[in-house]
Amino acid sequence: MVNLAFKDLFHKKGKFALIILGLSFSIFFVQYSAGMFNGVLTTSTDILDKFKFDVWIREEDSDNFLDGGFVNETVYDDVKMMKNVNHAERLILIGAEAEDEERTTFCYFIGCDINNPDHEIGPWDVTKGNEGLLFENNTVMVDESIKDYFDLKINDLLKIGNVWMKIVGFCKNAKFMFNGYIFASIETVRSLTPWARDWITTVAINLDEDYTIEEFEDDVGDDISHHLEVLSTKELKENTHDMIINEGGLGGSIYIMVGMGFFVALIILSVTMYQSIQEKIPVFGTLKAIGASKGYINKMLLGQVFIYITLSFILGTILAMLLSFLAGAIPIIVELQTSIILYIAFLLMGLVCSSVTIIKVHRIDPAIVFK
Amino acid sequence: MSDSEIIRLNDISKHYGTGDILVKALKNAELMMKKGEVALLMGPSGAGKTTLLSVMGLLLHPTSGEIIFNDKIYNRKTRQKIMTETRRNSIGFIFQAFNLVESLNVIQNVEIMYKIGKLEKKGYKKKCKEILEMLQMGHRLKHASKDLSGGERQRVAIARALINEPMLIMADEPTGNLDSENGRIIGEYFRKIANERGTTILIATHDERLKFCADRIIHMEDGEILK
Repeated sequence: MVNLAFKDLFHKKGKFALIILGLSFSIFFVQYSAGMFNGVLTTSTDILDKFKFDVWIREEDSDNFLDGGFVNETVYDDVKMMKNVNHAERLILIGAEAEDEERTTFCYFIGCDINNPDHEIGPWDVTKGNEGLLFENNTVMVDESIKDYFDLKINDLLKIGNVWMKIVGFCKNAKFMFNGYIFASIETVRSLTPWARDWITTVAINLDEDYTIEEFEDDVGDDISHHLEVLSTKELKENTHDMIINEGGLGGSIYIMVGMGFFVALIILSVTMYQSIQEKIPVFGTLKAIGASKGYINKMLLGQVFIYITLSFILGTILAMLLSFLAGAIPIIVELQTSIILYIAFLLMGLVCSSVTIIKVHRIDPAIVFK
Repeated sequence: MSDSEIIRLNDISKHYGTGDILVKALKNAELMMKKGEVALLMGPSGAGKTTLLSVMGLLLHPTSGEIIFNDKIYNRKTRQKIMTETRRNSIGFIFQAFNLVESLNVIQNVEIMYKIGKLEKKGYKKKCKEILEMLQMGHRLKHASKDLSGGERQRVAIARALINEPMLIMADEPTGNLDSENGRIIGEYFRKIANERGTTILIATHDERLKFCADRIIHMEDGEILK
């Protein structure tokens, strides 16, 4: 049977396409912003998600991955000897400049405990080479974003923090926020600081099954934990995200961008619906005169808003996903869960827009048909 | 109310505005129409024809008085929902400007009555087609309404008004936008519908040529029905 909501929308195809385009763009803007927010947060703590450790030791006041802080290697030596510590691993995570003759970019170094036969932290999603090649000093594996930026090939040299290092492999999806990771052995990373030999930034620890983090904290004692922070994975993750959102200013920027996207969509939809009603006052008057119920009119208007939002949401999301593949340097993760929440939020916004127009239509006097 | 009566107006008044700008559009109107009767409502502009049509068609509440339609009483307190239901099930409307939905084709403009109301949906397509064929529109079922001539549009509007098998049809200047030939055809259809279906038809018009199809002419002036 004829569906007036559909017919009416598609009757003026050019206008319909323009409205969909405008809405899609604002939804794309929101999805892209939300995707960037997700991407930055996710990549900032990728190590925590990929390698399952119970506890992390960092320098005092460096309780997140954005703050660099040095921990003496003796802490690692002491911790690994502790009873109930199942496994301990050294890690260096610091920022460094990578450059060739023409270009410079900022990267993050991960110094992995390659010499530890039980080590877990190492390059992930390797596309070329293998981490065994990192045993050799001044060799590195880099994320493909760095490879593409410098147009690197295996065995090329790249100057990192003033030391020329040989590329022995590539990996993908290895980024800390906007910057690619460079994987190397702890010794290679230390070659950047010849004045300080025995430093690391983090000790990653797995505890025995029945041994709690609180018990570990108590047992670590003042000798080891002096000027150090003992953090659970959850705490380190929360601190890092909190730092990015609040102190890094990402939260405010994203909220403004998402808000703007919603505002633009709200304006487009409100103006569209209002204009549509203004143009169709005689049609609605006729429908009311010939007996259309309030329910029918509500369903028709809500149906139109639903079609506008659903089609635009699909287009906007596809556009955001396409651009996330093309964006390269920017980590954009369009998540299903976030998308569902945004879709519901857009539908609610549509409900607000349509409720205003529904009220306006209900106020149309059916007797206008005789005027 | 006798068996042959379909609608009766008892002392109906309709006022707009208040105080100094009070307009008495209808003054104590009394009117009765029988089943199958075709009446022309004539009078100068501003006589109150449109208001009478709106009140009789249950589009407007009267300020005072009551309408007895199909043995039910409607007055200023009748709920809007009841009036809407009655219009949907028992009254058909025909307008000077045809008021077809531009985005729908000919048959869809008739089918829309099934969509908006609780009409029996079984066999609705066949029924819509039959009515349009009766009105000589069978060859134009899939045409866009904007591509039709004025006479054809008015025939589609008549089909829409008839599809719910109304007891009463309210027509406002139905030939106002038509040439004499199409005006005559529409008049003939009104007569046929009243004779064959027993539908009561009230036509507000200035068109003297429609007199041939009417059983009665009701004259109005200054909001009053002239005796």
